[in-house]
Amino acid sequence: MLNQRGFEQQYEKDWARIEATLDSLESWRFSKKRVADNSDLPTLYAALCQQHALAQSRGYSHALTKRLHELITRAHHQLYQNRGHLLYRIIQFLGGGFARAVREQWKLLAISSALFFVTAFICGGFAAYSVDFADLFMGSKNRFALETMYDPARGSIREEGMEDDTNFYMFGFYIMNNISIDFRTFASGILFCVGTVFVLVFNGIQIGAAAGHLSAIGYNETFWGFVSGHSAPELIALCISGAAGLMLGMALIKPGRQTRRLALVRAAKKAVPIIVGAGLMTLLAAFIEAYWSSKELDLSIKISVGVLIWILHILYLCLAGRGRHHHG
Amino acid sequence: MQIAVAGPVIRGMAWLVDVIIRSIILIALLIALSSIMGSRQSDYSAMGFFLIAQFLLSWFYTTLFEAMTGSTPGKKLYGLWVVHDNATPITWSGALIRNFLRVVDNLPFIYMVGLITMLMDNRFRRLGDLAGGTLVVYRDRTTDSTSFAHNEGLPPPEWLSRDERQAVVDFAERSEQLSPERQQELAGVLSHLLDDDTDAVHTLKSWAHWILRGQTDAQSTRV
Repeated sequence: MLNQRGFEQQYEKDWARIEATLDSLESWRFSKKRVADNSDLPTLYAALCQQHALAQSRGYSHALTKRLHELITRAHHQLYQNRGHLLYRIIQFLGGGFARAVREQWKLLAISSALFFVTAFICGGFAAYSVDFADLFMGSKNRFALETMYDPARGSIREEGMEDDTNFYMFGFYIMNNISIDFRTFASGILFCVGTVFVLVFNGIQIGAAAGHLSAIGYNETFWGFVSGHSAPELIALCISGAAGLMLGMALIKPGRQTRRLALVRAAKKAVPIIVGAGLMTLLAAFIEAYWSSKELDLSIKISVGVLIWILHILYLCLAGRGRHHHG
Repeated sequence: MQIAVAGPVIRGMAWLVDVIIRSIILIALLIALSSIMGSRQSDYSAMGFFLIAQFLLSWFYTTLFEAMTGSTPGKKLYGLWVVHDNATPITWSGALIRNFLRVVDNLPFIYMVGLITMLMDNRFRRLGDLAGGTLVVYRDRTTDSTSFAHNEGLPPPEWLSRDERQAVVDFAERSEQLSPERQQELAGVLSHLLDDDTDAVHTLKSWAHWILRGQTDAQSTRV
């Protein structure tokens, strides 16, 4: 059997070579330290693993096995690293990857949309029927605040004379508030769907009651004029976030023929593009809400644009990325 | 491949460092923004900008650092980093899952759910780690030297077990980093292997030298 020093001498050249290659790969992309040729890394890595095993079984010193182990770890990280052009991946994603991922979960999307919209329509109906129901759903304080905000006599739903000054502030506020709600809707699905269902139903009650009540008291122009533009991206994104949350919960409730943990890992990985896309949709909604929705235009124009945006969103989700089967 | 997973205490400290860093960024941003304030429009724009910064920091600070470098500044300070459970580098999706699920791990306050999950799991994974398939592990420290200054070889007794031989070599290799007194003390632990009247440190180093090289370099041949 070879003693340790002999072993070290025999392989020192390989180790030095692997070390230099790793140093260069770990350095910054445009650094001068980068060497052009690292094609022998896989071979060296395989040999290194064998040498490490040998050193261990022969009882060589810990310092040596530790050094080899550290090289193995570094090489492992270089070999199994993800590479790919970010820009290319983003285009792939927006051009169809997102819509495909959502369509694949159409059942859960149907469930989460039903939870939200059915609740909203029922509560809207009751709130329109009687103010008492509106108070039950949102409390009289919130109802007064809402009535003041959308009062047609005020002319604008934001404070007088402030419309354009506050645009960017509102944009920031909608980003902070609405995208955070999407992300929380997704994350809380891991509590066996309970968190997600709660967020969807709660928002359904609030939004439905507000819409029903304000329509009943005749604030159509201000309310529907304001919300029509951003309603499509915002509400669809909420339901899509809900579907992503339900994916996590369903993996735990019904894991199928795999462990719950494995089912969860797989579901979460599939949910990532969906929640990222939902976040981007809500960003779009925030932009529309801050810069378009508060504009004072004829109700018919606002409604037409709103309907057009709804149609575009549905077409995008139904059609984008169809027919092509490459994966980004 | 062996990796050492990190426990709740050190991860909590790393988290605290990150909280402090984020607070400093927000305070610095506030100071910077206050200098451009003045008119009503710039006041509102500054507030909007601050809200966006707050949103990005709360959801993407950890996500971006982990996806791009493997660890946040706080984790780096404590020698930790995040990997997938097959020890490959963390991917964007892994980083996003484990960090978005912080809101659930943080329930009802200061990561109680996360802590309980970590204590129930044999690899200290919180919910975000379980869903993302990730682990927080210790980064390997830089290698110790394998050389030590000694040129005399003595054959160790033949009844020395493999583990004991390995311990002797480890002692000799570490001796460079130890004071002479500490060397004496450690050598005392192996005193049952030695005769009473010998210089324990010297003898152990000579054995190590012999084990590593054989009696002379010329004899180091394959068997």
